[in-house]
Amino acid sequence: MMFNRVLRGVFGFVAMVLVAGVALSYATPQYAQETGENCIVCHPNGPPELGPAGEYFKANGTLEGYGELPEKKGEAGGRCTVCHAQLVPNPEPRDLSGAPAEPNHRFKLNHGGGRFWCLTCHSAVNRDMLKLSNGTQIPFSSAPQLCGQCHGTIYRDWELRIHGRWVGEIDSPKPGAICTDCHNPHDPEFKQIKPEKKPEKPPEPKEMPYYPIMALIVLAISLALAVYAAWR
Amino acid sequence: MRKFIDFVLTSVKLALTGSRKYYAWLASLLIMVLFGAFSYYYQLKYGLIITDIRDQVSWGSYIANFTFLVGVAAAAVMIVLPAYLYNYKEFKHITVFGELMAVSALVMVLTFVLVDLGRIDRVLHLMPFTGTPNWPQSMLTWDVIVLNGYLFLNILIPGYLLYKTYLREPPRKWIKIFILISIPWAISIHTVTAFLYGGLAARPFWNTAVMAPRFLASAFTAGPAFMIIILQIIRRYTCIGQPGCKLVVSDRALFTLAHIALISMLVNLFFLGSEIYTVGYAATSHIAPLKYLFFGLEHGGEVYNKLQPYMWAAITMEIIAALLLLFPRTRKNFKTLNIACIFAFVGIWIEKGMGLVIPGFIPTPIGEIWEYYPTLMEIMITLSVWALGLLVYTLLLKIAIGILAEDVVHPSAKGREMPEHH
Amino acid sequence: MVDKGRRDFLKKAGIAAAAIPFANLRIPVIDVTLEEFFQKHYKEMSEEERKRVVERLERQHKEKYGVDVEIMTTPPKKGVVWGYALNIQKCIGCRRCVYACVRENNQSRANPKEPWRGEIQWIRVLEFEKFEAHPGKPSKKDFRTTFGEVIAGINLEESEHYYDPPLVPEKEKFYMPIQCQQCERPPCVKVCPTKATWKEPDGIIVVDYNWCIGCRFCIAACPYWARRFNWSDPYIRREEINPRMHYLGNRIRMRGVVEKCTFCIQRTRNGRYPACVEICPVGARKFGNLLDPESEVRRVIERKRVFRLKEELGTQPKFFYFID
Repeated sequence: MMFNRVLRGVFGFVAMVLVAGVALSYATPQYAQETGENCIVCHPNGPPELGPAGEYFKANGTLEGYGELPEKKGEAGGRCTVCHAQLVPNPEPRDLSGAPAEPNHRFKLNHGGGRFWCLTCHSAVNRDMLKLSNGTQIPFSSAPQLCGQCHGTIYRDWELRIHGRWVGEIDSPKPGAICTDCHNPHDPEFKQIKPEKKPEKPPEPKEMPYYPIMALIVLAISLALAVYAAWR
Repeated sequence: MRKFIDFVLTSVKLALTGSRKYYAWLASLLIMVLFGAFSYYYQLKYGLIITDIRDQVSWGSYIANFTFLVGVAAAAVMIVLPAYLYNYKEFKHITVFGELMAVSALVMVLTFVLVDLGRIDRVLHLMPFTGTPNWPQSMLTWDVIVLNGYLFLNILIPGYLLYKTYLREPPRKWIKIFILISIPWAISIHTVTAFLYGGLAARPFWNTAVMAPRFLASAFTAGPAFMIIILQIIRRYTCIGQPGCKLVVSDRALFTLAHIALISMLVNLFFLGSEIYTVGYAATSHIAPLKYLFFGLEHGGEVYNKLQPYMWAAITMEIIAALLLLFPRTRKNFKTLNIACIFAFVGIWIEKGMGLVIPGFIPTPIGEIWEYYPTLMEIMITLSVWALGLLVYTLLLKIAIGILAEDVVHPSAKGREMPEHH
Repeated sequence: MVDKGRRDFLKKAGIAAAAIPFANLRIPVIDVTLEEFFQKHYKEMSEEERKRVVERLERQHKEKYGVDVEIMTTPPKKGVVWGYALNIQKCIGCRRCVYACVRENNQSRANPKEPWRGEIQWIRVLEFEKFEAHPGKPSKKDFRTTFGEVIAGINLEESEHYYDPPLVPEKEKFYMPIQCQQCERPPCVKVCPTKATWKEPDGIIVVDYNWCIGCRFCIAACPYWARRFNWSDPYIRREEINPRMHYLGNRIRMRGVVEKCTFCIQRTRNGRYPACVEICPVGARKFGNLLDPESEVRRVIERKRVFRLKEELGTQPKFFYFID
């Protein structure tokens, strides 16, 4: 009878830990919920190491009054696993085109008209990679392969060097920019920009000072002389 | 050689001596010319920005007047042709006046071209040997050749005839060749000028086949109209027309000139009507310049119609002139004849000058509408070039009348009879 | 074209002029020196003469603006004819190309203190309506329907050159920049009375700014309004000057001469893209060697729907517009 109670206790404790652990790691971390900020803000080099903003939060329990928050880095370029290795991915396909979907990655997903979500392009098993529709993992630098799955005509043009902006040497077989160098994959449509100044109308003529009065005098004299010459 | 120098010196003396009123007239013109030169100095210093011409309308008053005056110069042929090819006696006395008018018109033409250039210091680049003329491709090089050639012909022919008259010697036969050459040459100068405009595919307002015929028709109206007025002035202020004068300018000559002006004006109006029909019937985008002229254009809320009143005035004047010339009653009446001549001259000056050159640029080939209106300085320089032309014409006429009508002869030829004209 | 006698005369006159101590004296008002007066047509100069002229010009730039410049005389490459392709589907009308060109090619800027020295821009961007309808009442007499008059597509008469919205591209508009089309049958070259403008072997139409007499016949003849005239002295501040110049390209011009786009001859003859191609933020501009089937511009022409402006005039422009 005592043994059963202990066993139940241990069982319950383990179960609680497991559930708590799963629940804790499944849900958005508490700090992110409290601050509404991305992990990188407090953990610039990845958790658990704290940066200055993180120390501040730890000391004050809030990020209010901290001042300017560091820039969110790490959404691309291979540092994703720093956080995501410790997070269990949410396998639920969901519409991210509304208001900020997650506090972590503060953007609307304006790509795919609500049909895309994170794991459409990002690899579930390794956040430092992207995935093609057949599951192949590719690095971020091979993004054109992924984009080209849907944007085939543009991909073909890009390979021929007739899509996109190039600088430098004419017709050189340059590696060139990749899609994400110009297009934001989460919000690819180019925004409107301020146009440069419209052309000036042609300038006003340069005038000689006092010219009208001089011209009037000359015309008057000339006319007077002519009238005198013609008078019979 | 000695006789030639005497001729030149006598001519200079003739030109520069006269009554007080004669000097007043010369002074009136000279003051305009000097003021023009002064204004031109300002243009040399600051560039063509003193005018209202810009990239959008890149030719203005100077080229408009150039175009018109080439026509006036060519019109001398309308006196020369009947006199030499048809032996029309009435005109034989006045060919010199026509040729001298061509000289002064050409002086104005060449001055207008020089004044319009952006870099007059490089004008030698146009000439063979010192430059690289783009002949035969560029119509402007053709124009340089034919205009200078015509100037040479019209200095040579009356100059030689006056020289021979001064010496009381009959002119030699070879001058006839030059006179005959000058007839098609006169046609050519205005045809080449018309081709300057007609060859540009970029300007559909000008790129028509009827450009050269139109130019000639309007030239042969304006020139004779001008001559009619000038000849009456000559009759009034010189001994011509007085009894005892060697030279006669008969009324019949004037009425024949009026007849020539009438036919040319009717042909000109017909060509104008033909142009308007061709552009207006299908009303493609090419109608824009014509619409600008007569009705103005509207874009972005703004209306552009600065030339509208001038064009309607020009058409009205031309039609009135045509009607006045048409009916013998008004043609043979000097009051109405003079009104008709002035209206014809001014009307064609507007229609062919500003009314042709400016609308060719409005709208620009890529659709911009930008209006041009000459500045005061431009107008004064233009007037001063006209004054220069009239000054040259006055001086030349004084010489011609002195030799032909007032018995100015070389001392060695005193007492001899006047040679039979050609 | 040139007879030896004339060439010898001019050579002697030119050398004599340079030797005269006051060959460099600047005549006021007209603003020309004796040496400039006797300078020959660029195509008739020997290598030695070109070097001397370039040295003189570099010296004059230094005297006037205090900037060390390099004026190249790079000849055209063999087997190269430059061509351009511009994607009007992509153009957003931002005018970055206009001002990149102004900076690269040392064009005159507007000067508020001397407003008669106006700005020059070789590229002009036109704004068109995508679809603007003016419905009318149906009328049996003139067969009008309710569809009425429509402004759509490239309608030059209805284009707007001075558009100035806060943001571009505007939804109902599309944009098309126009610059010198470098025609194969250029009407401007045909009408120039002094041969001051001509077509180079690599297809670029160039102007010898020291030979042009400023008659502006070429401006009248150009169907694309591509040429600009220096109505007064060009104004440029010394810190704005691009010191890498070409004699036929972006050296600083003088009043009374014509200028225009030269496909950035100082860049392209040394293997770099024109400034407008590099700066376009949406990659609408493509440039390259038309003779090379693998060049970007050839690939565009062969794969996209291209057209040229005013094709019916037979000018054969080497500037192609295309849509994706």
